[in-house]
Amino acid sequence: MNDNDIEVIFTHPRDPGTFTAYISPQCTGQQAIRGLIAGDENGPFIESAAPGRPYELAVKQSGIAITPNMTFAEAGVGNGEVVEVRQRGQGAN
Amino acid sequence: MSLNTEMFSRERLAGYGPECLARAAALVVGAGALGQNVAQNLALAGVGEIRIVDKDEFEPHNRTRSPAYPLAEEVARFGLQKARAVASKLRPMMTNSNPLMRYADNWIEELGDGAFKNASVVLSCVDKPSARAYLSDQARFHSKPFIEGGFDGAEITLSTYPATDGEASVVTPCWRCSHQDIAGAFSCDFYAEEVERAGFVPAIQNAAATLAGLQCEAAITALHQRTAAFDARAFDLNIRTGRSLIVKLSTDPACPGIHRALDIPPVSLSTTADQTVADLLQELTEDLNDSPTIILRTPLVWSAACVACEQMSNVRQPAWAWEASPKCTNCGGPFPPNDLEAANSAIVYTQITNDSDSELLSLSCRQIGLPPLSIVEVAVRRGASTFFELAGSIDHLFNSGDAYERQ
Repeated sequence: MNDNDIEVIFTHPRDPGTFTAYISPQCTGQQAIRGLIAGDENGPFIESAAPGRPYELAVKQSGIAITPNMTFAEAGVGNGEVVEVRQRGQGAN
Repeated sequence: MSLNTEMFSRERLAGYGPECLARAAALVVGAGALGQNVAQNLALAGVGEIRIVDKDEFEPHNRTRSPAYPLAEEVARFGLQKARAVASKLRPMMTNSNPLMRYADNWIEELGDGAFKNASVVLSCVDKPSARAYLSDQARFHSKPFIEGGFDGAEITLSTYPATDGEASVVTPCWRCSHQDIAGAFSCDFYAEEVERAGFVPAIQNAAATLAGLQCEAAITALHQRTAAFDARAFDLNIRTGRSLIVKLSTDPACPGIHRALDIPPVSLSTTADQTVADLLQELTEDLNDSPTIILRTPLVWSAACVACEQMSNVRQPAWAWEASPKCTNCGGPFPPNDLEAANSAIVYTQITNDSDSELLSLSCRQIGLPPLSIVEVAVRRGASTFFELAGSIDHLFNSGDAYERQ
């Protein structure tokens, strides 16, 4: 952990679980999702996404989406913020 | 005080402008559970023209979430093609005094740019990510509001993207900004298998109907040009628990999607889709008084190595068509779906000039992925790209009117 790192609490897309991480504000959405898939000593927080069904991130308080190549700083994520992990429904049939 | 019994009296009270909706044309892509519910709502709301696109056929399991599933006697008249059957069933529900219901039993990519011409709004009711990506790109290029929906059991998501032009088309979020990896998502069968393997819950009618209501309300908002209420956002809702989330969508700095618009009307051509590429180049050369380079917005896959027979196989199809059904012309067997080795070995054209392969120049425009009303981007040695439009009419792409009866 570096001095500039911020605490971010990620919520699971389908269950009430949360995952607390200390990350650089320059971390991108894609890097954060990779970290959540890798998880910690307890295992992955989320499974690998199926083709065409990516995870998405959104800052709970502001509602701003963090896209794959956008940094947490660009999304205005502050220390202690909650970031929702989403996975959009893709069915239509 | 007497009760107002005028047909649209309730809609007027709700803020709808029936005259505005009567002038509108809605492009509904996908005629499954979601598309049928969407088209039904638009028909009842008084939208003047509805265009329904789907190449699929009905299967028995569709019935529990298909308001327009054909009855036995209707199957004999309309067949099982979803677009035709749904258009036939819903046309009588259209409340507009001069309704126009068009349908096409095609993949949307087959119809090309013409499907979007004069459409007022684009509604995505498809399940394949590649089709969503195509619709997102086309809606952005043609400056149409884009309304996308999807569900996973009781979880539904609506996302809306406003019509943009000029600089706004560059900076406004699109669907691709958050869906960048669509590799492995082209083949219908492959996608269905993946979905089942991943344990996603198929559609239920209540989710389809709820999401369709949200999509149509968003479409009606867009059609009334209430821009303040129609921005780039997503809405997640679980219809069982009521849990919801609104997300302000963001623009990705490295988005692979199209972030530009056709800001100047294209120049009309006399070349038709059934004339050759050489004919097209000749007309362009005469128009521009220069040597043109056609820039293919959908790449043309010329040949690829089959990993089964290890031979180079002729493809001669637009990339989307090959990726959807990659058959080897030598051994007959399919390329392994989404095989990276085969994809990387492909010879792909992204530009065509008078000096291109003579076989390519002898193909019809349609064969290389330019159906009627296609927008052809042309670069010349001097200056920026110019856009042209192939000859044709929307009637070359869609059926309507008397064509409902099965031929």
